Amino acid sequence: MTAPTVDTADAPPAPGTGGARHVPGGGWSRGLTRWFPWITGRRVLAAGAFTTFLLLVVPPLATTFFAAFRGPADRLPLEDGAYATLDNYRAIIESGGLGRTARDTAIFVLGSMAVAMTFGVAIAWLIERTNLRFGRWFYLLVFAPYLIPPIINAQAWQLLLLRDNGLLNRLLRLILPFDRGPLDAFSMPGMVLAQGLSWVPLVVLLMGAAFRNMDSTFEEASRVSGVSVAGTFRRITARLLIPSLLGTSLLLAVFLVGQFEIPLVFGLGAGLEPFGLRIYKLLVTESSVPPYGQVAAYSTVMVAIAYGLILLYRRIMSRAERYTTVTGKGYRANRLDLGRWQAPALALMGLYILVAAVLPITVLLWQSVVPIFQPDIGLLRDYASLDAYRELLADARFWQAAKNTVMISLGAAVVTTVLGSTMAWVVARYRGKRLGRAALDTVASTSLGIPSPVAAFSLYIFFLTTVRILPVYGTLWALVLAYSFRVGVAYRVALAGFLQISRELEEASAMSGAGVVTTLRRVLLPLMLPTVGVVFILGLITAMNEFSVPIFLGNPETHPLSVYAFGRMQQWPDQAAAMGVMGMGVVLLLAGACRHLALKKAL
Amino acid sequence: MRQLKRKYGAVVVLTVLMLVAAACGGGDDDDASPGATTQTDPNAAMTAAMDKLYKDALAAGEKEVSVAYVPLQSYMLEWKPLFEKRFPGLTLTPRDFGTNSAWGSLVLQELNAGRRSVDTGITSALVYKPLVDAGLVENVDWAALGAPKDRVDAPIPGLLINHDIACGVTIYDSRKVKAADLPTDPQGWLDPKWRNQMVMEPFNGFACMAWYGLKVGEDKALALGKAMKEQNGLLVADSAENLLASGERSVIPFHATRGLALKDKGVPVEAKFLPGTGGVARQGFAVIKGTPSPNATRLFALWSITDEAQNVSDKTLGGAYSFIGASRPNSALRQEIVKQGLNPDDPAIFTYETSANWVARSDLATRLRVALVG
Repeated sequence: MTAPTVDTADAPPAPGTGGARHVPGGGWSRGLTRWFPWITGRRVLAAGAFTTFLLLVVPPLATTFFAAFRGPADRLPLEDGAYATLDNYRAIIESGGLGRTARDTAIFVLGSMAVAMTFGVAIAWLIERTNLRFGRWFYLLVFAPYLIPPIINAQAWQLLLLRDNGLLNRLLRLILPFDRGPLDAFSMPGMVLAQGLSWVPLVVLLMGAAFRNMDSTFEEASRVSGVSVAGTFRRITARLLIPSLLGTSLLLAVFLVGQFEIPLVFGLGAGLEPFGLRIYKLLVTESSVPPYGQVAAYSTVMVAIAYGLILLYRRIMSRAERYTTVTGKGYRANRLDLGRWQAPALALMGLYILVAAVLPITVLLWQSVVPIFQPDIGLLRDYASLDAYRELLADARFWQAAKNTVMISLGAAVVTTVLGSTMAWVVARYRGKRLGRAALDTVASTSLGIPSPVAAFSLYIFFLTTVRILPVYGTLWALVLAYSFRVGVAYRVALAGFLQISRELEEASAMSGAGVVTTLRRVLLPLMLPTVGVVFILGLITAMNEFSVPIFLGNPETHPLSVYAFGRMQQWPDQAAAMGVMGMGVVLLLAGACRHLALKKAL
Repeated sequence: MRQLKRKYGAVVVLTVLMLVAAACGGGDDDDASPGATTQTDPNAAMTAAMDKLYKDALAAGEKEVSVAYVPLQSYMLEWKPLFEKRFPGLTLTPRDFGTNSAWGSLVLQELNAGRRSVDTGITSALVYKPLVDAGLVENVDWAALGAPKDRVDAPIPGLLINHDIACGVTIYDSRKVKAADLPTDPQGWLDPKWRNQMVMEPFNGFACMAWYGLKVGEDKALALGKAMKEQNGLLVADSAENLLASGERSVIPFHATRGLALKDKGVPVEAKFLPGTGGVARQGFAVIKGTPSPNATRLFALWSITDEAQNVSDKTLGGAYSFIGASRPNSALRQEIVKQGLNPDDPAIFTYETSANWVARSDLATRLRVALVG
């Protein structure tokens, strides 16, 4: 029996050489490899995926950076009469706009982060490290706010936090001695509370994983030594979790820098103008052509801040192994017995779920059946109707927006899944130097550091500038490409999946003579299908709820439901709420499919 | 005699048959006539001009008029079948720009990108400004087309006034506030009884406040705004009308009569004009240069000021967006003003937006907004 023919470029190294072992290729790549030994199927795929990704990200960002140094501010960077200048930065600094925006962003981000981390860490600890009853159910309910489209979520929180008639305030005044409030939607504390609670699910997801993987031996030793639960948490648990806590905080800060929906609905009244809202106000101006140069200048500052945070995050996570508790020697993750604290813990969890999940959904359902929201059961009884749903379903613009949403979401989900999964596979199977892999990982994660308003503006100005050669501006394709900026999220989820699959299976396939494409199709894809399915559905849900991109980049023919809902919010809040309720139903179905796939993978 | 009867009888029968054929027959587009309408046009000259424009549009092969609007002007969707019924062969295509009421710059970008955009849109001089500055608005002589004089005295050349927005109105929750409680002078808003009761919209509120500023000076208007905010907790929010309707706040000062639309939702609100703050902003249609349907666009703009169209838009938002001019004495807004004992034609009470003052007012509105909310 002869050994299978392999190409020299992909031949396994001779025994004892210690070199990297290459997976031989087959089919079309064999012929190509004969003439160009360095071309392999994997390298072609890698080059294709990363080049596509860079083309998606780099030109728009480069246009933004270029536009920041072009004037006058109301000209596109390559328009007749445009010239190089520092006037845009001068204008935003001297007017005090940059200072005020940076200050407001810092308040907004730090405040929201404090709220999200406080609740998120506590909930994650209770669910993962104690014997809290109904822990699995609480874990699912914590994610309920994700069902609500973000712009509608902002509407719901405004209705909850109205000082006199907010539903949450009315309930609080049943037990607290206040005549008004105590919370106020149009204040900084109200805004950060709403935003912070909206991000608790992400903190629970990340910190839950950290708690789950932590060896409880150290905590047990501490308690056996007589240290209280609180003391153990403070002196042992929290210290071991420092990298995870810092990493989660930084990642949260990156996302919060670009947050836009709650500041848009609350911000004017609260007197706060974070970056996303500032950019929106500059672009949506009544008096003249938008000051592109100044918007670009603000965008570059936002990107610099976000990337600074990302670099800090990566640095911290690279040192995380010093805090490793899970080793090859095995570990235990025993749960703390809450004992007499079980009931209070259950009550606190129940209270959290009530405030963060049940009340927002309730108020949306309520608003969707009355023309104006007033927390009065009698008025609800007298005026409740399904008119808002009927009017929506009879409105051709609603169906056009729904059609746009489906097409854009499907397109973006396909792009991010294919691109993200391919890049993840390349990185997971990379056999070169560690620095090379880190570089590829950094490039693939780049888009995580680009705040949504910046991504939207960058593509907006790029498409406008290049409209004569790339006529994408004003089309659905523009939105598909803009939504695909979030490929970094798909990449990270897919990477986690690929790392769990041994490369031996692919090597065995290749040794049998299968090419890269055949191996991917017949070996890897069936194994990765649940993960790829999860990535696709997550991409679909994210795209369906996207708001900050289409509000800048869309036009009347391409507006998705999120923008259409925002347009109805002022005059027809019942219709906006009805859209939120219908949207929740769709997301619930998709989330169910996601969970089904995730469970199938686990089995 | 018998021969005469036969001769004239034949003529009568033939005439009747021809009339019946003309009424029932479709014919081709070149022979199409405007559909019947039960509403009257402002005058015969305008009717004749519309007929000519219609024939010219069909002869030139014009098929479509694309019109920009925002959700508050959703009567555009009711106009569509009426316009298409009266002028068969022409299609009205409304384009809803959603929350982007400043669609002028978006249209400019579309045109600069070489894409078909809108032929016209219903909005103010301020939104048309980027197009005017770019030389993209036709200076149509609407008066020569029969439009009434008070429809053509517009802030920018070429704008045919469709409706007015009357500022200087206080919208109040009649469950909590009586008309007699309201101040008779804007400085009255500094009375402690209005503490935490007031809410204003950020764009429309300061646009209306600017009329007051034009009368008393920017410094005084700014001082009042600051005091209302800092002393009396004036809240500035896009959802001002919803906050009033929900009972969260009880008055919207410096508003427009649009707030009366809340009555349609069963909310007990009333409006009262506050002396010294009245102003009339004008919105209308202008023809954008380069439109492939110049005749049809002019025709649509003229048709929009007929009773047939105006009776529909008058019903929207409680009549808030309707024409105040004397050429339409029965408009909802004019009647509302008269009901409050005011003379809509008195320049001492209402300052009308003209080419002489619209830029100053817009700029002042922007400065007030930036100073008070950023």
